Amino acid sequence: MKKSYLVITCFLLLPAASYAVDFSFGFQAGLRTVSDSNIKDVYKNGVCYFPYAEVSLFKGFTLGAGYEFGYSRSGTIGIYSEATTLKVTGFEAFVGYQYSLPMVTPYVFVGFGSFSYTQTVVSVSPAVQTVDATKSTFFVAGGVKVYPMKNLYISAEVKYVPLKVKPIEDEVDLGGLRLMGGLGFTFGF
Amino acid sequence: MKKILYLSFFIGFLGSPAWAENWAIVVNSQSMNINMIAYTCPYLYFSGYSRKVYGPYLTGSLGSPGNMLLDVATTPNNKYALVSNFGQHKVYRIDISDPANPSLAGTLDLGTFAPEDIAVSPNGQFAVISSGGGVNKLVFINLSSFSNYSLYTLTSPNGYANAVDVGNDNSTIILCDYDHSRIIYGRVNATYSGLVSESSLPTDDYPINVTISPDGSTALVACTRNSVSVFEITGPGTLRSGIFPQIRGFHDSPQSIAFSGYTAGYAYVVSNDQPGSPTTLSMLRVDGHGNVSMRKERAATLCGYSGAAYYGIDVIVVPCPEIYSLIIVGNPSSNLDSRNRVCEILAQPGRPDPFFAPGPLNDTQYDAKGVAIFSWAIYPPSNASLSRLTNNYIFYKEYINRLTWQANDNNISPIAKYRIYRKNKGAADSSYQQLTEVDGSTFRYDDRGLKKTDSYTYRITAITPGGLESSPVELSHVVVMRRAI
Repeated sequence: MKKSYLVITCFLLLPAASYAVDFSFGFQAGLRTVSDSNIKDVYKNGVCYFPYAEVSLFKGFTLGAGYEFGYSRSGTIGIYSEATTLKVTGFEAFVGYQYSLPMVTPYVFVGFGSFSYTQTVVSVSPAVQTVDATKSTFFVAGGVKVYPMKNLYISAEVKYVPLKVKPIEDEVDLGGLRLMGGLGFTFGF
Repeated sequence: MKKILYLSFFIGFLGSPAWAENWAIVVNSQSMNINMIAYTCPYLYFSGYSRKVYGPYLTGSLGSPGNMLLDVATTPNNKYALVSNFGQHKVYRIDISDPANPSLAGTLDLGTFAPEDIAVSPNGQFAVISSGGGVNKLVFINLSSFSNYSLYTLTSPNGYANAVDVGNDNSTIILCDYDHSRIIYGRVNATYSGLVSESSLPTDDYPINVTISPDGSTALVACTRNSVSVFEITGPGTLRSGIFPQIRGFHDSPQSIAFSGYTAGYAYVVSNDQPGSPTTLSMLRVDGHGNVSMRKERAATLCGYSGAAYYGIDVIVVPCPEIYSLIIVGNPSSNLDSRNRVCEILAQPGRPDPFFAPGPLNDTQYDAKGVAIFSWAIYPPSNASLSRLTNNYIFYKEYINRLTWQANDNNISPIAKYRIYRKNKGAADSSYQQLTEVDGSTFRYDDRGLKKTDSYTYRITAITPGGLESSPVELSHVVVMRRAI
């Protein structure tokens, strides 16, 4: 799955070779909220990180890809308060539009991501199992880039990922907001 | 908001009768300790009979060697045994609630009084103790405190008290006056410190021990000139001679007598033969109040050897008085033959020719004297309940049957552990399998890892330190469902 997303991303970026384009690389970090009340009770909100690359084509049209990681939360779960950990990561590809103003570039994206999640519980019960699954979903994001220098920008972004999963018997909403900020570097050809 | 779902389950209660734990306590006169004997009663053709001897216990705590522990009596709640130390003038209270681990729970120093025969009132309020030959005093002990005693002097002219028993009215007291061949009897006073009145009736020569029947209607007096005197108790502190006042024809000297039935049945007499010869067992027939006759003389030769008989000490008990009976006998005499042992006798007293099979309890000691029995029911845990819990792991759920219970206050014996059995609901009882055991201070067990559709029935039993198991309490399935948030 990860390989296929890499191939798709490269394919999308190929047209950039024939146009005057801008490439950007950035890294964001911020708060990752969870929608599900049970998840929130046990694991709470967490942080996440998002390194990415994007290419801005003609008239603000942008393609990009990144990898979200860092949400790994521990807590206690259930009647016996057993130790548990939940980890969520995701490969994301997105397209969007960014409108360049002097020093400031607002943008919106839609994307498609493949999210992997793992839950472990330390228990003596034979009923307890490790949850390890993957699910893909669309997401939306919007933000702004501020250029204090010519090629360096500061970004602030809000992203919402709906992610309802049912790996065993109960449907759980692993989705939520990402409230992130970061730095990026843009260079053009 | 955390949500926990659970279902409340129906409590099915068997409520079946508890199983009994039976014990005998034996005092060893020279080695100054005790043995405990656990037994199960025989039934059809003596099947199911078992016994195990524990101890000796409390060596070094019951006086110094050679001072003679002679008699033992248990309290009606089966929590304590009282033991007389003749040579050091003490009475010990032993906590027997954990029979495999008895402990000393008090000592009374009786001054100049040398205790020998102990009788405990059926209501457990007091004990009365007689001494040896030529003593005109009794000791009364208030058992609610076991902290002091009253010394009572007989008012009967030249009266001696050489053996004693208390009737089931908690009032009638009968004494043997060995030297004057009579019994002295009367009612105990309101403070359990003496007799309100004293009367006497003659016996055959040299009465050495007295036993009152469980229903309080009949008294039998062992007389050392080879007879048993019979009396009928007509009211508190009032007696008259029995229908057959004397039962004669014994070849040996009766010393201890025990009844096997409440109103009618049998009584068994332990007798001394010539010094060095085996002690013997004879059988009396009890047909009603004061109506006793000889059934079989010298019915069995026992495991102890004869010598000078002790006053009053009670060496015979009939713990299992059914068709297939068990009788346990210590040694009524001063004989310290190394071959002496406590004797167990399996009997079929109701046969036309009564059958007795005596045998030594080999783990007992040569100097065993007084014997007493006690038993109690072992009750299953109380207030047991079963509830279905749902343990939410968010992505999936675990289903749990939670069993909870409480200690049953009726249990005298401590509970060492609880045992839990499980079967599929609706399956035959024979399919119950032991699930687990938890210690006696644990009152909850979670049967974890169940599927949503799993449906089980459970049994919980209580286990004593001796390994005996109560009847089960059974827990079955759901009628009520509720949600808790």
